[in-house]
Amino acid sequence: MRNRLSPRQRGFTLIELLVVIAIIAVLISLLLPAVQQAREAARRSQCKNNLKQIGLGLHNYSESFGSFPPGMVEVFSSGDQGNWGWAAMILPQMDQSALYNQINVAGYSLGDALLDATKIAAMRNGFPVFKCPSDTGPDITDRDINPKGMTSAAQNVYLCRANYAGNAGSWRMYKTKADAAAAGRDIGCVNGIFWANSKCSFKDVTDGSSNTILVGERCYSQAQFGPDSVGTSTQPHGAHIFGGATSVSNTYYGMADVTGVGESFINGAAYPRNSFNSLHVGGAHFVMVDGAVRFISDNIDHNKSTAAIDSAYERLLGRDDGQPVGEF
Amino acid sequence: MRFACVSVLLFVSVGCWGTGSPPLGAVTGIVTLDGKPVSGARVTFQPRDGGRGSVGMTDAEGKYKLNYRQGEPGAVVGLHSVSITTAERESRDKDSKPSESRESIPNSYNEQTTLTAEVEPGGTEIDFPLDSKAKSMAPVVSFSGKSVKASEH
Repeated sequence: MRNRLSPRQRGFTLIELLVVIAIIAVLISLLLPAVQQAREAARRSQCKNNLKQIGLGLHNYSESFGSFPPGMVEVFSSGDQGNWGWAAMILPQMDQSALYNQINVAGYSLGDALLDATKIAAMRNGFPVFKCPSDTGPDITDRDINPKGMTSAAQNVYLCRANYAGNAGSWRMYKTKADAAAAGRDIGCVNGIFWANSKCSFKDVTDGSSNTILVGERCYSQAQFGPDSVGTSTQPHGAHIFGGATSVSNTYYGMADVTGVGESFINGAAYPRNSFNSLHVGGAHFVMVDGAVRFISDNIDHNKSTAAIDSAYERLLGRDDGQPVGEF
Repeated sequence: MRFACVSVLLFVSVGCWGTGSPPLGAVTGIVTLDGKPVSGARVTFQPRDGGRGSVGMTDAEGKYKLNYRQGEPGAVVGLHSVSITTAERESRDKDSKPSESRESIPNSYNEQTTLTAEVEPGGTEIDFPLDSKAKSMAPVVSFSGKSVKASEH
């Protein structure tokens, strides 16, 4: 008892106290950026999960119908009238049968559905599986679609923004092989999984399902697509869930609304509208045809200058180039 | 106490790491066609040994500056294939048709390019004096002021 109250007992000196405070401050300053990184890591996980769900939905569709859905079901090819895209086809496989029935994907074209205000409202709501949580874009995209028979700009309809685009090939975007041939192109065009009225199945993916990209990311806008140099001010504008307009007047015939190609580097500035990009630092997520979700670095080997399929990224996008990729 | 400070500093420095870009060298230069500067041309450098290329656009005086990524100027150090094009595949106005008809540079400088350039660590100035009558001849490319015959594929 007496020992405990000994006069030898003393508190902290000022120096000791300051050192302790300084150490605590340093530790907290280390922790704070880590918390921000943890948030981005969580968003990345969510995005990966979204792509996994989309991959599973496409697999289920393929089990039911023997092939992947068409990139776009081309009913109208003029006047920006809406056609259903691949993601609308897999709504029942994504646990969205009610929405599928409500907007009547089975019965009509998207242009028909856009004549009905309640269907438009449902499609403007969208659902979160098709949105990357890291994307800061608006909920409603600025890419317009027109209802059936209405082709003036005043009748444009704007639906929800999505962030996932199907793989349409390794170099340039065309509706079909025939369209590419008409433009004098063949190699590197329409060699992905999705194109207009496509019925691509697992057997068509001769490079192997783990070597071919199925769906990738497209963000809405990103500072890096700003005017860092003259003329590169286009933005990616995200993607559409329900479809687009394959009219000739539309950029890339509207296929860019639902699919992407390797015309620009991952997260690259030139032609981001028809390519794959994300707001994740250092690359973008892709789901391969076998259902594996991969984060592909934007440093990946990619020669976009020529038609030839001669780089790793082009080989991943091409389904039948005969050049499987090992590690990437 | 001194030991504690040093160990805290070590701890902090261990927490810093790089962004993972390969070694880059800054690249600028001027593109001319028959002696006249080309504006709005897209200059793409593609590393011969594989990897991500770099892109730049020329301004009204034909000057370009390559960017590897946004905020990361330059190109991967080493030998590159270079393509230069003025075709605009994406319409700026979203309801107008994209056209490839604007191409004013011969094919041998873009889709079937034979241009090459060497990017050195530090800054490299590479001018491209192009010739509108060029077919598949190897063009003369000047590196850092000196004229060098570009090698063929």
